[in-house]
Amino acid sequence: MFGALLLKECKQAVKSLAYWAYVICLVLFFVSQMGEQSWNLAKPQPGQEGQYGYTYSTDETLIMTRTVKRLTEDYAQNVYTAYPLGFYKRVSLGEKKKEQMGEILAELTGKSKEELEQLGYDYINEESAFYEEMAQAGARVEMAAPPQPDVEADLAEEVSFERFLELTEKADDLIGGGSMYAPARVKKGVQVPQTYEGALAEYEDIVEKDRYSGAFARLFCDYMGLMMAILPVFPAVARTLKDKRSKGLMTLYSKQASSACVIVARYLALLIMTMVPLILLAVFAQIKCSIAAEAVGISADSFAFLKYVGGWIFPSAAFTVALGLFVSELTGSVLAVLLQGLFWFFSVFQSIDTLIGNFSLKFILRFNTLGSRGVFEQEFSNLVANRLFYGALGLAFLVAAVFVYEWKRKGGGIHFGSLRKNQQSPSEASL
Amino acid sequence: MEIRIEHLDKFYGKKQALKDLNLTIGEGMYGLLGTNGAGKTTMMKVLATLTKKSSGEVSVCGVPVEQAKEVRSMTGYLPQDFSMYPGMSAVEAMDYLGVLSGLTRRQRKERIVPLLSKVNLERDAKTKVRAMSGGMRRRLGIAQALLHDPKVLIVDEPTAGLDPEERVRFRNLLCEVAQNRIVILSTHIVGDVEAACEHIGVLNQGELIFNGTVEELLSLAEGQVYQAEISRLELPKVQEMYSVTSILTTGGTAQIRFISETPPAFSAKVCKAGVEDAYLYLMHAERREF
Repeated sequence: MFGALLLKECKQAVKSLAYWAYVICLVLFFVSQMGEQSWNLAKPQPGQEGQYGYTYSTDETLIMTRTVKRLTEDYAQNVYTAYPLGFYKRVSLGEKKKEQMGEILAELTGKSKEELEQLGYDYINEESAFYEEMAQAGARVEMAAPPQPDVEADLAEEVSFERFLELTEKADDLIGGGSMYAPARVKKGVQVPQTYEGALAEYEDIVEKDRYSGAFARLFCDYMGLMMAILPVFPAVARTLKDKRSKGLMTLYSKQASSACVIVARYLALLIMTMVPLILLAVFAQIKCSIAAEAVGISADSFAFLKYVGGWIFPSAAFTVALGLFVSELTGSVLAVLLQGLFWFFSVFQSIDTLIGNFSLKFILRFNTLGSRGVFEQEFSNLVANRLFYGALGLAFLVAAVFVYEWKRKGGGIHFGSLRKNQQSPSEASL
Repeated sequence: MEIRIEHLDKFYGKKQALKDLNLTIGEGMYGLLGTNGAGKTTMMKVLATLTKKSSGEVSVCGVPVEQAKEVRSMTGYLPQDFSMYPGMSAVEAMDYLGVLSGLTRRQRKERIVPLLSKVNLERDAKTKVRAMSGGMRRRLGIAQALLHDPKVLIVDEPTAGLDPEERVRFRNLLCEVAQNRIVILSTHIVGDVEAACEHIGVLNQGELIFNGTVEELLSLAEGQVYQAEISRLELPKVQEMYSVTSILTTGGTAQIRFISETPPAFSAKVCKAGVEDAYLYLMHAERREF
């Protein structure tokens, strides 16, 4: 029974408008993000400094120097940037907190309180002079970006990296969290121009460890993972609501098939059908990548895209479909789309400041770079844990959906926001 | 092969939909009569395992309704206002529901076309559900309910909204399929029961106020149904005094049938009671309107 039902559910999905809207959105997104992607990777040549791109340095001294300079500049302006919950926030500290920030900065730079205050005054004067100059030149003052302070802020010699981290954590707390000075952000390193040696090492990693296509597969997952964290909810909700709209619920409920059989078949069918177009896109990208690799004499990993899609994106789709089925089954509404939409929005913004790695328990995993195999290797265990977590959560939603279906089958349900145990819907009011 | 109901109660919150129901239904057509809201659909749903009983014992062919899967395997259910996915054709809908009923591919192949023929839908096998008339949908509903050859067929208000011709056709179809199985037909249309059922149950406000054969129901009203010809001017007064079951007006006179436990005060003759008279007599007796 299960196999036949699974096949029928796959056919149902293919006949649904929501499914084809999903496919079109997915393809359009792929074309817009990866359509222009060059699949050719040239070996770096020496003597092209400034053209090797950027990388992150975790040199402690460099991190401390850059961070302290940035913090001093922010202090002088009394303007800090933060991303609490992923959303941009401009923070200006009150007198008390500003004083506390001054104490932190004093320890970090070795400057006296007066010297730091003077920095602020200097900036105000500089800013006033800038705007005055702008006004005299006839420019629209409100359109001009304020000048960046140019401060001298050396790191105090006696500050260790551990103490530095403690102090920046305090600074982050004063700002309200989610700032540039949060320990995770600070430890991530600072952006520096890539060297020839670094670029060559990156290239060799891509060729040897990633076998060319692995690096492209990560980029593919970064982009397509964004869509697979939201789009599958649409066909899932549409499938559940189809039962309700058809007014065939009682007939369906009265049949012999167990609730687990019905829901699991539906779930797997939706999962298969939502993964099929993604897999086709992955195969398309894999072919492009393999051809490009072949052209430079490299034997690409022919299954890299499928492996990455399976491990990286599949759990996202599994979770999204399960949530869609569960919530729409429970509420008989499109609420699942709203919930998943909010979760997606939150997840996107959660990753906005770290587009490479730092997976933790984020639903949407970003790795918006070609290469950085080292970072990926560091994050690999986090990625596995993260995907297992969302896979398990998806499974939990699936089990919950089975229970809800069984409950509704025996007369339970939620109607117009109220929970009714074994009660009829208003449409079934005839006793 | 029987359905046993003992002390069945069903509550929706504080409202009691079924009150201490005791009933045994054997092979053949069983008609369940009652006004809207009498509890017919609730009883049908309890039998079809689509709602939980609050208390009491219910078994279908010896299997308690708590064993839902087993009960469903031997029960065919046609809900009130049957419908299916509008984009499916009759054959596709049957095939999908056949899979849900646990039929193999071969069984579905063997049964679907003959069943559609039986319900006179063979020419509409490829017609989409959305394009079907009410009567066609009901016939498809019966076909799907019979697909797994159930021992029990539960049919809820199947003729409501059908035109007279379609209704007769549907009743005949039910009589045909009632061979060797239990068919429970719930309706508030007395004519359906009169034409098709050997046994009748009457539900009123969740209570079973009658259970027996058609003859037994008729015998209740025997000698209490009268026919008279009166002036149309007298009609309102007579309607106030008696339960009038039919009126036929011609010019200034009206031919009426009415129910009275005592001989009426005007000239009238006793006539043979029909099922409708008996049903109305029963309902009025319940309300103590005599």
